Amino acid sequence: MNIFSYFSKLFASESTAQDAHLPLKINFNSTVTFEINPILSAMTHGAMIDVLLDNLKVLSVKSISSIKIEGMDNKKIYRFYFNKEGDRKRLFLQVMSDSNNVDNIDEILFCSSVTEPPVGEEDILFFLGDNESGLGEASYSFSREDLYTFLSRAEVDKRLGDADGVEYTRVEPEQDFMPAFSGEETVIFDAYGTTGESRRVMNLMPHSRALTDTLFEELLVAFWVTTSKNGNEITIEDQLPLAEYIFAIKLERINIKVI
Amino acid sequence: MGTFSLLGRLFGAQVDQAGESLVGALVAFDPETATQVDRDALAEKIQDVARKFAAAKQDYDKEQNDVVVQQKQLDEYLATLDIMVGQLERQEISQAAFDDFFAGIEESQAQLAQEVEEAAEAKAVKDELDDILKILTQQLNDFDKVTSKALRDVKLAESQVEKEKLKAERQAELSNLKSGLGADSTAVKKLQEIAKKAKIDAEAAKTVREITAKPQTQAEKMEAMMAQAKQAGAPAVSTMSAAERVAALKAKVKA
Repeated sequence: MNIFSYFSKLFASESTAQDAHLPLKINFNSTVTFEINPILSAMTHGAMIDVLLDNLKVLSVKSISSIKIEGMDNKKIYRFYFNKEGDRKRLFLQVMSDSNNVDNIDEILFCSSVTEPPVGEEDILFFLGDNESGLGEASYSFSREDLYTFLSRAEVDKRLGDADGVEYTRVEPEQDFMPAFSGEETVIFDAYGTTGESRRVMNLMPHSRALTDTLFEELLVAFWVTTSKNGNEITIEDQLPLAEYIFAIKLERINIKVI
Repeated sequence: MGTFSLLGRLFGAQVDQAGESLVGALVAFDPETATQVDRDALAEKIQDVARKFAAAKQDYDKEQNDVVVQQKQLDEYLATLDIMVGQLERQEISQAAFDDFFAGIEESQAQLAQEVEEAAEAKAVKDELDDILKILTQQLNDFDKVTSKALRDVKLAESQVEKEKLKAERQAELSNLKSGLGADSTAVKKLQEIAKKAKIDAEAAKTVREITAKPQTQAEKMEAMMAQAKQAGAPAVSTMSAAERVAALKAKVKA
């Protein structure tokens, strides 16, 4: 059952809370506290995640979404966004769990991301993984210059050290190309789903990079577009696709306190 | 109730008139149904404990996983701390950030100790439930053994009762047949009785007839005798010689 029945609720004008029964029991009234140590530990080892550690002690949920990945009916991805809607930099918790049991959690990712519109047709084709190139290749790299556009120079230099850049590897890197995942993200901005967005995720590809033997940083590259807002369809001409670089650290349940 | 007392009551029932109801009760009492009720209760209890055990095991697995995760993270933090000491010396990070991280490690250590304790407690609960489950399962096995034996005994008793009944019936039949071999068959006796009664009746009737008959005088008797003789064409007995009587007899035979 899709608890984010945002559109149907919108038209039926029912007032039923849509944020009940979510993973980790997080809802719009929740205050979420993260242990800084796993995040600081990853950052100290060079992770590119961008977060002000002092802010991690009291975070409130601004919007909640669920992502349905095509061809993956038994799993569902939930996101709890802590940034204001429309911010270029986003901060969110991503939880993947069983579709029919949100308590059966596969993975918790603490994510910071940067969105940017693609520049030109070449960029669009790259993020679409067109012609088996671009997103979907065995690895994804950022140069020092690339990273300067996401983070302050000082932060990049501190994390990068002497390296020229960072390289993240997709699963099964022995395969030259692997089509990325696609799906639908439904976002609600309030508990009753009276305001929200529908986003078409054209591509979503996870990668990872070893920070130590046992510590990894994840990179999810996404390419998506908002197709409707508050129940109103956005015409194709007005749809603005966005590329998103999501840097993530895997967390354990014990690292998260929800009040 | 022991099998033997049951047997006693069963056999008692045969002789005793009140025993009829006991036999009825026995027929109504299905030992298999009765024991099944007890078995179901025990099986349900096992299920209940098994559910609790599964929950306890899940709880333990979670606690144990927490310990492993916490230990792994703590190891990472300690490795990070080495780097941070250098960063602090080079003033790349603030003292506050270092202190926060350090406090986080102390908290994790305290949590780990707690997780270890919780895991140990969860293990104790899980193990105890496991023991109880084993005992109950053994009890169920024993129960099955005992009841199947008891059921066999009851079946045996029942078949013995049946056998005794058959035996008794056969005995009765045999003795009936034996009595039929003697003279005093009921039917014959009855016929004899009827015959006897008929004979008495006949005697009585004869007597009554004789009593009620008209008495004859001596002269009339003589007259009747003479008439009979004349009718036969023969002289009266007293007036004929021996030769005459022989000739008369011969003439009668020829005729």
